Amino acid sequence: MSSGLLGLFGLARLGQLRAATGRAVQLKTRMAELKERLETGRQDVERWKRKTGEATTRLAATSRETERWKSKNAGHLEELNRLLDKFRRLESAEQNVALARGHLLAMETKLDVIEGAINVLDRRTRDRVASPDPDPVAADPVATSHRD
Amino acid sequence: MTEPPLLSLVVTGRNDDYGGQFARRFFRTLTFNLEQLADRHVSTEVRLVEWNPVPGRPLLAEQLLAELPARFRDHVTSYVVDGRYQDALSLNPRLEYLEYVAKNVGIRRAEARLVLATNTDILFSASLVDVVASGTLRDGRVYRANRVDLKLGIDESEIHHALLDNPDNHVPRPPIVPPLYAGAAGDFIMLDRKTFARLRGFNEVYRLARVGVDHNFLVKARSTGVPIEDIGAPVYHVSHMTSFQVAKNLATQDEADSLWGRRHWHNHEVIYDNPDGWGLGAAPVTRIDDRIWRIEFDWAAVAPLVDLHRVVLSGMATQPA
Repeated sequence: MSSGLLGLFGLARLGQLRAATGRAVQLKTRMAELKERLETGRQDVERWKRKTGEATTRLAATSRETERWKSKNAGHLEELNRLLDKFRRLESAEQNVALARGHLLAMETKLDVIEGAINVLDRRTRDRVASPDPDPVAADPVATSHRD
Repeated sequence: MTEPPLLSLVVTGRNDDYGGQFARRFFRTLTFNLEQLADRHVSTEVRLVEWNPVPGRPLLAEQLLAELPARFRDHVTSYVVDGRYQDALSLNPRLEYLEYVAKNVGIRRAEARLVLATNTDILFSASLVDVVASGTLRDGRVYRANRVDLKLGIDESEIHHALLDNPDNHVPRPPIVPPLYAGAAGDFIMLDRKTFARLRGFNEVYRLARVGVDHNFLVKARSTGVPIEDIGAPVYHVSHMTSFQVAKNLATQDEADSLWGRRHWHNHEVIYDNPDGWGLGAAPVTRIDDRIWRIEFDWAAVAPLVDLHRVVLSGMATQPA
């Protein structure tokens, strides 16, 4: 019987039936696989959602921590600048002290010279007053020549 | 015109028996040094400055010419400085001998390329003479030498290298170190004549002390940018009872004042700018005999007692005491 005639009665040939049944089975299997993959995808989405949530939480915590450190370091920087300024002022003061000390030493040396000159002049004056025409020859020389 | 010698030895002394048998020790030391220099063909002149000679005693300069071996007599030129300069220049009546002004008299009149300001009891080591003879010493720097002290009382009747070099005869002493290489500097300061003249010799402004004037010269040299080096060979010094290292602990206050003048002054920090007439440069000079000259007294050659602008800071770092 031809397939056309069978078709008038809503019937199909056995081969066609078997082929259709096979396709239906394949489609069922395919649909099951797709369902499984869909389920896996949904689970992945859930997992990523969770991870994103966690990351967002961590990011927020880190941001808060960053802000905290920023404000803390701002304090430290201020302190550091204060110390640097102090150091520079100390350095300058030290230079001034060294300079002042140098001038003091020079002044003391000059005073030594002035004192020496006064002593010499005082002695010359006394000698002149005591003996207007002193004997230029010393009595007994002191042994003081050279020098080591 | 004859070629100037390589080396001038500038020493000062007078016939006052300083340290006992001063003249004998001086002549023996000078002869030893001149013999060594001659052996190494180092042309040498000696400039002896007899400062404030002792009245009534023979001149040390004359004694030297009589005692020195004949072959060295032409090496020596002596300057006998009128005693009035001591009184006129001194800022410290207790200080009897302005040693470094005296040395300046010789330094100013030296003619050799290198001028060594030294003392009459300093003996040269063989290695030192080798360095001088080598021709490697450069102008524009101060050369210093370590001083090795020989023990007091060693047999110095005959000086020879075995005696000098024997460590058993040495008194330990710290070595000289940078930057100044100070320590007994008065025994050995050598530099070329032109640089010595540029620095105008030792301090003639602070005329109150003998101690520390040598160190002060090193400070001035360094402050002026003249490098200081260790020459790398020692000199020897025979200790005697008036050696500073021996006598500083034995002398009475009066003796110390007379020998060394003011002992504590700012010689590490404060330096000087000697006037043009340093080394009695403006004093008239007359000839006594072939090898002896007299520096005649003239107020025009005497620096003012006080000339404060010539007291200057060294520019070297100063540390609080």
